[in-house]
Amino acid sequence: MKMWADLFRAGRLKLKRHFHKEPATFQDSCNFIRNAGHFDDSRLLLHHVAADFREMHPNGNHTYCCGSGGGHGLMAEYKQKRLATAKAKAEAIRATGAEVAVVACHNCEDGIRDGVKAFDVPVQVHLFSEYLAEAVDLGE
Amino acid sequence: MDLDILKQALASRSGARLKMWMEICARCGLCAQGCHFYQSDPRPEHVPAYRLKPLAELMRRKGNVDEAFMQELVDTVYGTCTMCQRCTMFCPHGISIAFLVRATRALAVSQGMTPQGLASGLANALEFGNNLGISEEDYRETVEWQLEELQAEMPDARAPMDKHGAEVLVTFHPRDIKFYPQNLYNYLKLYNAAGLNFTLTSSKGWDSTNIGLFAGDDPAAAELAGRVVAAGENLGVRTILSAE
Amino acid sequence: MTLLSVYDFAAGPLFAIALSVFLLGSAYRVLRFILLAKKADPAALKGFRPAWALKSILHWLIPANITARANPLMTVAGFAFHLAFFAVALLLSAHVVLWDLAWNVSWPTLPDAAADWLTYLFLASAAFFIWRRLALAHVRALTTPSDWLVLALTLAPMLTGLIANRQWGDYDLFITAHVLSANLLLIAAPCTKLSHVVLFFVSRAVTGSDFGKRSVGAW
Repeated sequence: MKMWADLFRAGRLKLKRHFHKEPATFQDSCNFIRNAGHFDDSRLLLHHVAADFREMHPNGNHTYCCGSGGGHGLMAEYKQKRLATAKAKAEAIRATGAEVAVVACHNCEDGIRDGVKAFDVPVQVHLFSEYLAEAVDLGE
Repeated sequence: MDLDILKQALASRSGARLKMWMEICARCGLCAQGCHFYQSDPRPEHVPAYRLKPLAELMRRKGNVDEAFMQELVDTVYGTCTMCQRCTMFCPHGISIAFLVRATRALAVSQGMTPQGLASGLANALEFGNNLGISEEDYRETVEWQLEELQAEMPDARAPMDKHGAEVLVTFHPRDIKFYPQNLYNYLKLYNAAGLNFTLTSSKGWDSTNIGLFAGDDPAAAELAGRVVAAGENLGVRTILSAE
Repeated sequence: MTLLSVYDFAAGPLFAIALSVFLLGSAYRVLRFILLAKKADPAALKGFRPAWALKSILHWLIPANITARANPLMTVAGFAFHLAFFAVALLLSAHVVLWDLAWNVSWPTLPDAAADWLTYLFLASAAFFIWRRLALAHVRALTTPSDWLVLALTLAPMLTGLIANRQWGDYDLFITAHVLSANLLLIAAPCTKLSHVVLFFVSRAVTGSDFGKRSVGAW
C-alpha cells in the first residue's frame, strides 16, 4: 500500500480521479493501519479514486478488527464465535451506508465478507488492489 | 503433555515485558471497550484481560498443569483473540495483550496443541513454501496465465521471475494464486502501470503471510520470514513488497 | 508494650525501613526490567524512541486519551483516587511537620479542611471501584482476591488517618493503625500490582515507543 501511495505521489502510478462513483468505505486493517501506520497513504489513494468516500467509525488506529486476524481465518474450530463477534464491524459498515467496502488485507477480505453476510449488510467487498487496478489510467 | 518442555517454554518466554505486564495489569476491565469480541458479544470471557488468566494461573502453578487446563488455555488464547492490538490503545498502562496472547499461544505450541486449521496451514507453509500447499509449477503457471490475460489489456505488461537487480521483490498471499488469480492480475497491472522495476521469485519466499506468527510458533515464524528475506537478498532487491 | 511505644516504633525505625523498601524496591523494579530486557527480551528496548515514550506517558498522565473519552466516570474516579492519595500523603500539614521534626525539611502544605475533602473524594472513588468490581459482570469476572487485598491496603491508611484526624474514635488506636497500615502499603507497593507506581512509566514508555516505531501516530 505504501508502495502504491509512493508511486502515486511520484506521478508514476496514474489513477483516474473519482473513478468509482458508488459510496465506499474502507476497512482499516490492524496490520496496515494500527500496526504499520499507513493511514495517510490509504486516504490519499481512496480520496482520489472514490467520488463518495465515507469513513466508518471507529476508524484509523481505533479500527475494529475484521474478526479474521490472528489466524482466525484458518481456524474452522472457532468459526461460529468469529461470526458472532463480527457484529461490531458489520454495524460500523452498515452505518456508513456504503455500497462498497474496500479492504487492503486478505484476512480482512474474508473477515468482512463473512461478517457482512452474517449480519445482512448490503455491501460488496473489494480488495484495494482490485479497486485501484480498475481505476488505473492507461492513457488510452 | 510434556511438563518439562512446557516449563522450558514458559521460562524462555518470561522476558521483561511479560513479567511486568502480568504483574501490573490492574484487572480494571477498561480494555473491554477496545475489543470487538466484547463489543459484539459482551460476555466476561470476552474482556481482553480475561485472556491473561490462563497464563497467570500457569505461572502461579509453575507449569504444573494438566491437559484439560491446556485445552481451556487454547480455547481462550486462540478462540477469543485476533491479536489486533486495539485493547492496548485503551489500556491505561499500555499493556500489549496481543503480545501476552502470543506468548501463551507459544506454550500451547510447545505441547503440539496448535488448533488444527493453523497447524495444517503452518505445515504447508514449511513444506511447500506457502500455506495452501501450492506447487512451484502451479505458481509459475498461474503467473503466466494472468500475465497473458493482462497483456490483452496492456500489451507491454511483464512479470519477470527471478530477475536480478530489480528494484522491488513482489510477494503474494497464496490464496491469490490458488483461488483468486484475478487479484494477481490486479497487482501485475498496478506495478506495470507504474513502470516499477520489479521481480517475482520462484523460490519458497513468495508467500507474504506468516502463519508462524499467528500460531505463536517462533522458530517457524523466523524460518518463514527468513525465506522471504533470503529471496530478496539473493535477487539483490532494495524492497520487498507484501501482498496489499 | 504500650500503644504509644508501638506508635513510636512504627513512625520511627519501621517507617525508615518501609520507606527504604519502597524506594529501593521501586528502583529495583525498573532496574530489573532493564536488565531482564537486555538479557531475555531484547526486542523490548530495540530501537527505543524516547520522544514517543514521553508522548505516550503524557497522554495518559493527563486525561487526553481514548479511554478518558470512552469512560468518563472511571476516568474521573481514577484521577481523583490517585491525585487525592498523593496530595494528602505528601502535603498534609501533619505529615510535613513530621518531616520537619525528623529531617528539618519543609514544604508548602494543604489546608486541613481541603485534605479532609480530598480524603472524602478518595473514599468515594474507592467506593466506586468497589462497586465496579462487584456490580459489573466483566470486572467481577477479572477480579482476584489480590485485587481486594491491594485495594484494602490503599484504603486502610486513608480511612484510619481520617478517623484519627477527625478524632472520631480512640485517637491513639487509630493513629497507630494509620502509621502501621501506611508502612505496610509502602512495603507492599514494589511487590504487588501497586508497582505500577513506577512501572506505569516503564510500560507506557515501551508501548509508546513501539507504536511510534510503527509510525502509527499519537492516540
